[in-house]
Amino acid sequence: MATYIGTHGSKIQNYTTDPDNPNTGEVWYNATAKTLKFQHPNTTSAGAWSSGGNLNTGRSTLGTAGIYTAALAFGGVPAPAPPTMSALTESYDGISWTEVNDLNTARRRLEGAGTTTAALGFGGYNGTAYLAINESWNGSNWTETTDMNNTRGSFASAGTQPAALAIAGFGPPAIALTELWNGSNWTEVGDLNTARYSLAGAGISTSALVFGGQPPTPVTAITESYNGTNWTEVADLNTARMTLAAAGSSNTSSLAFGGDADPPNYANTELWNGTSWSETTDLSTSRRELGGVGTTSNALAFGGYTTTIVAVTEEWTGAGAPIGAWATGTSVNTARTSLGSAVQAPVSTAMIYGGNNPGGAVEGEVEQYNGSNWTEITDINTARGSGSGGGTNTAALYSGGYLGPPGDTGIVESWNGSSWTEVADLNTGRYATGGGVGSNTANLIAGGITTPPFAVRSEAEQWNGSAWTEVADLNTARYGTGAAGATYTSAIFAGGTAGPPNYALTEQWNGTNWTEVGDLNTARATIGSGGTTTSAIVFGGGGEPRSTATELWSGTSWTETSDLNTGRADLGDGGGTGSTSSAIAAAGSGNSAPTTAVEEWSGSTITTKTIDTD
Amino acid sequence: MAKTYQYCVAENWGKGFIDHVESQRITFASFPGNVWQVPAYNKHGNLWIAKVAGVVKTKDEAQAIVTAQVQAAQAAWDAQTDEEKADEFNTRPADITLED
Repeated sequence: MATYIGTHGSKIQNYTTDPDNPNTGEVWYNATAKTLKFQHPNTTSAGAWSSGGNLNTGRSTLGTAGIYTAALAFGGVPAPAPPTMSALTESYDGISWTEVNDLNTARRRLEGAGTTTAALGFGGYNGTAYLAINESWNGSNWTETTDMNNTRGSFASAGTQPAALAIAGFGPPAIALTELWNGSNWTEVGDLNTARYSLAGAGISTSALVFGGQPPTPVTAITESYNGTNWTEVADLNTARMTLAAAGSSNTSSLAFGGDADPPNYANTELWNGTSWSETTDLSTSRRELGGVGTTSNALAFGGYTTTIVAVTEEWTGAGAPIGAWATGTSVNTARTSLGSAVQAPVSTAMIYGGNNPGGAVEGEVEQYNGSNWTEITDINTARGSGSGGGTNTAALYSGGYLGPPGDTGIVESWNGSSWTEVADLNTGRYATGGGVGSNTANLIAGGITTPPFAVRSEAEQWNGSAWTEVADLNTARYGTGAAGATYTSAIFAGGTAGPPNYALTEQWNGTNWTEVGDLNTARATIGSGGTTTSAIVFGGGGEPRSTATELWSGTSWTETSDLNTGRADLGDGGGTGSTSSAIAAAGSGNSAPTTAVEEWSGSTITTKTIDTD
Repeated sequence: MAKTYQYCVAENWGKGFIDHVESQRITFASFPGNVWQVPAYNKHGNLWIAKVAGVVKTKDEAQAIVTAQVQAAQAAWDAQTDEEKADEFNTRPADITLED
């Protein structure tokens, strides 16, 4: 018999009290409580739908392809009575839909497969006849290619552009036929066990799942699984329905959502685990004839019909996402806003410097954190706020800033772990540029304010350890951005403002050019930030009341996560920094006054759980 | 009897209207006429209504808005030709009853 020590190489530790800082996955015996315990990561227990960007043209019975951050919606009907056929194609980037080139043949009740750069759109109904038409999308245009062997609409699909399935549907009448596309031709393969239409399908050409539809009347819950050769009936949906949508990667992992029972419309979402369906979190908008793409981890629902055609998009994030959280840290000694900061994980090595206070006062104090207390160390040479911070507690940079009236400065100071030394000035003295990205030998700043006279800047400058060099301007001049990046050749700058309103836009720097990428969910300025171009965090921001919102950047899009406990702004110049796994919000501007409050972010919280041995 | 839900009218502007954290915390349901249902006596529901500048409605007021929308959709459906009504996929919009 296998033993614990044989498997893990050690015995289970025996403690009288729980250990102070157990590691994730660690198992121990609490001899006082006589219980076996382990340290478990906190993750979401259920998935949830949140709002995505609305379609430009609401449609039902449309064709779909792609994933939740890169999807296509094509064809369908934009008006229910009388129905008009659409050839419109829209592309989703995780934030918004953009119109691209139309289908060659306007139609509804069609299906799709593939991605935003290589898709198929096949079958459908043009208002008078069911079609066998097949169109291929190359990322720019639709081109007619080889027709299916059978006409059909209101069917199901699975697969990719070079390997797709067209499954069942309305021929008319209801059919069970399945056809396989190999990139050039359609071949009939195994029939469904139950002929039907208005069903949904997910998966790939060798591992697919279809569910729901009609007949049998009025609607069915029948689910069938395809192994590349044959269809086998498996466990039914909990809620029988038709005109539903699907997401999923195989016949063991699928999501069913929306639909109707002729009527009512449904918001129900069900998750397939390879054996059975379980009900999970509903759509916010119950609807039928909607589109769906993605997987059980991340899916997209868009368009459809309620009592009218809708443009609504909802984004699904599945269970199991790490739950991050802000916890109260030790307050700093000196309340201030618009301070600079440097941090290298863990946050117990954070350092803050400079800052502003009401009445035009500026601060020169520097404080270092050890995870428990903040200690005042050597001041910066020139007291000022709203400069750009960056680096670590042994190698930091504080660039530009606000000297109090009359205004800005181009002074730059470098920290070597024991003292501040003035180095070469910025080419354009300014403040509120957002967090300086990089270290004290490789840094980037962009945007900001010069005054007098007051002007919002778009200039960017790179620091190579000895001199600042002007590089390409931001596309949008602004100040108070949140910035993230490991070095001056790779960064993102998010949010900011040029005066009301605040911006949600994010620009990415590749060392040569700025490119607009996914917007923040909440437009804001003077925000805390940290991380890299593929994994970043922003939090807080200006406005009344101060924002508590926290968002995580995946490299393509921002997702909301757990809020700050206390809203605050004027963190954008470095008062908040770190990474998606470990960040700190220190001081800043509270709702009524500068604050000393500190919060620490942990991107993956853990808790102690007791193992039930009964 | 204490009510379970509260209602407001708010236009869904898209991304950020309901964010992931809000969706994890409370259940949302939308109805015709931009009517939204969230839990009553719930801090997160109240905060969301404030965020979206929702105009709070009583259940009866919300029901009147929804019913007007449904009746308009039913009238449009009824005005179709018999051939259109006979379409296999063309079902008449159903009445909707909101819950307390």
